[in-house]
Amino acid sequence: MLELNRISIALPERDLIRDLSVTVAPGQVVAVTGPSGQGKSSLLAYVGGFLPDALQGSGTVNLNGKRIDSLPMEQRRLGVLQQQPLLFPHLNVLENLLFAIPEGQTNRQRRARALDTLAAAGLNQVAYQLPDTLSGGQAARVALLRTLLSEPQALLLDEPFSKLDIALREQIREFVLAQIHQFALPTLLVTHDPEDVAALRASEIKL
Amino acid sequence: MAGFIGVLLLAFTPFAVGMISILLPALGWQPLTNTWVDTQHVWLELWQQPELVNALLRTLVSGVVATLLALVCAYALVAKLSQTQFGHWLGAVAAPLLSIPHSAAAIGLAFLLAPSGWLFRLVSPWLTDWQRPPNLITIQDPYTLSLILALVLKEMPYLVFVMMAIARQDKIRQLLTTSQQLGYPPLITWGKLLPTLFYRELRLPIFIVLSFNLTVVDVAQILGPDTPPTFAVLLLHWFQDPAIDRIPIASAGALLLLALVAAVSIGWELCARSLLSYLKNLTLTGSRQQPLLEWGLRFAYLLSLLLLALAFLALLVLPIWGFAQRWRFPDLWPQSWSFDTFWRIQQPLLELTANTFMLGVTSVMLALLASLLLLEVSRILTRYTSLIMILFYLPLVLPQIGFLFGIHISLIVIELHHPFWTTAYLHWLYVLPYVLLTLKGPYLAFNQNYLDEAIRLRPHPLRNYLGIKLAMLKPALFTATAIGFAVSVAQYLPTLIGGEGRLSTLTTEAVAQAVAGDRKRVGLVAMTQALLPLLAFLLAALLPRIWTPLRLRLKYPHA
Repeated sequence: MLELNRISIALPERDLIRDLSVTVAPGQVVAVTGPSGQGKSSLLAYVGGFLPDALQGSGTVNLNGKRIDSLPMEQRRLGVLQQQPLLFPHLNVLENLLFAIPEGQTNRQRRARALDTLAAAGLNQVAYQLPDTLSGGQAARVALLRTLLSEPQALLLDEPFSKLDIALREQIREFVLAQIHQFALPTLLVTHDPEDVAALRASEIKL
Repeated sequence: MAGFIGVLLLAFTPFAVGMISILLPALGWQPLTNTWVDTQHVWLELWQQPELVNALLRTLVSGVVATLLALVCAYALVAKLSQTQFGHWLGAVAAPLLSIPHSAAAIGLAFLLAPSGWLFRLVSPWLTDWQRPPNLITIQDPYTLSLILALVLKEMPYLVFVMMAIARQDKIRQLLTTSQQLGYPPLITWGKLLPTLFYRELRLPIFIVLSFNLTVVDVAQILGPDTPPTFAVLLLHWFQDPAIDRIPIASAGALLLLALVAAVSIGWELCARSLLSYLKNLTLTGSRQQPLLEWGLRFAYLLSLLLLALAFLALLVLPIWGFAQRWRFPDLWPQSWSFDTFWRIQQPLLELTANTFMLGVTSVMLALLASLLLLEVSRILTRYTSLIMILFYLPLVLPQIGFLFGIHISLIVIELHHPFWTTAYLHWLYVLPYVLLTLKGPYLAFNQNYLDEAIRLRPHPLRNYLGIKLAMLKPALFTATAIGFAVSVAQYLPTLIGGEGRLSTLTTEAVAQAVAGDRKRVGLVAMTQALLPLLAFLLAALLPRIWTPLRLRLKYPHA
């Protein structure tokens, strides 16, 4: 359960968001839509803990009953997906996934888990490739798998499909939705594309 | 933050200490006996030195003419070639020239220009009838011609490198196209319109070159005149004079040299401004033909090609001498080759190479650490970035000889003797600005989102910084390492002073032996000296490219 309570975000000269409150249940997708420049991405950045210094944010965020808005980014246990997949270019796909799997298992177990995840997504043939050899769709899927392997307790999606070919988008949306349901993740989505809202069966908040 | 202030202190205290340590003697303090003489007395004695006027004159002529020639030739080369394929190719071929130590190039040039050198063999005896080396003064000539040539050979590639980057900017290309559409031939645009645009971005590099040319010691010792030498070399003699009472006039002279550099820089700037405003007026006449400008640029272009060819010959001749066994004048090639010289001097050569290598690696590693610290701080405190960067240009514009001897004096006074670390520290001072300036662009342009993502996936800030950010910046780090290493290898005066005569590198040895020494031996030492930075550049270009594929192949052999 991800609870946003009276979130406000302001530039020095004007307010972007005022007193936004929303609760996202496990496996549910809430989409924040609206024209650009209204602070959609800033809202995600505030929840995720990477709001730029130039912006002022306030309000509380609770994740599974624990308050996280004062925690540093790395302790919030949120998975973030953006337009760019941000796969590390000097690590191969398998290593990118291993990077995300938390410590506490043997190397053999971690590796088996990463390979199983790839196989389940039909991506086992790219395990040893470098990210720049992947197609756009493959990279997007690997990025999502990587985020999921870091065992987040909620997902923040910032226009994750806008850079993909139209033909691919549908496929990737289905893939993402399936994962969200499988792991029962509360998901906050920011988009300007109504099709995203429909495909992920999201409740919509218009800014 | 503490580390940041620490680096600033480490980088600038020596300059302060060095300056104070020559200021006091210049006021009359005798550091070794701790006694004072009259300030007036020191300066009067300086004026009365018989060599003073001639030495200053030779410094002025060689420094200014070399800068001017290097600038004009480099500009003409860029004007003719920057928009062509040949220009790209030449840029790639000439880039390694940048890394060759000045002294190695000067020695190669001496091997070409000397009466028994390659150029004379080329035309003898069929053209000149010389069966023996002619009795001519072609190097260390009193008119400083050979010195000027050596300085131009070394500075021109640097200026070409800087100007090529400017010439590839979109605004310059658009301007060339536009004025061509208005009926101006490209060379006219280069001659009338572009100098103003270029000069704005070239001012700092030019001042660095000018200051270097006016204060250079190693090249001037190899190819510069004698009795008197250029002023910087004369100062070196005074500082090293066993009669220690010369320290005050040497210090006063160092201040005089500093004043000379400042005065020449100001004079240069004034001349440049009036020339540029003259060119601007010329632009407004609308004339599409300027035969003088055009032919001047063409001539300078030919000269620059000739100079580049000479630079390559100068490097080529080093190994030829090194592996020659018998080489009679006027034969073009040695009668026989051998490794004799190499085997004979392999022990000292190995030792010199090891010293050079260790100094380079130590100073570069410390400079990398310091640069990363400075850049990380200036990434957060963006407001101060440009201020910090300007401070670090300072060592490049200040004459080495003054402040280094200040350091020397203070080391004697506090009785600190640790040749290796003192030298490594002095090298670090000169390596740091280059490493910092090379890293600055890529480091500040790094997409911080990657690091943010890494932190979210794996909460280990330090491991992520090393494994993601630095690993992704590998190409820039390797390039900075190679540049820093080349700078360290080339250092002459800092090694001479920090090492107190007990630490020799390839460069100090090559310079010491350059004129009087055995040519085969000098050829080998200078060749090794030129090879080390070349090798570093080669590795820096190659390693980042093969690093990841190689690592993956080793780690996942079956994939």
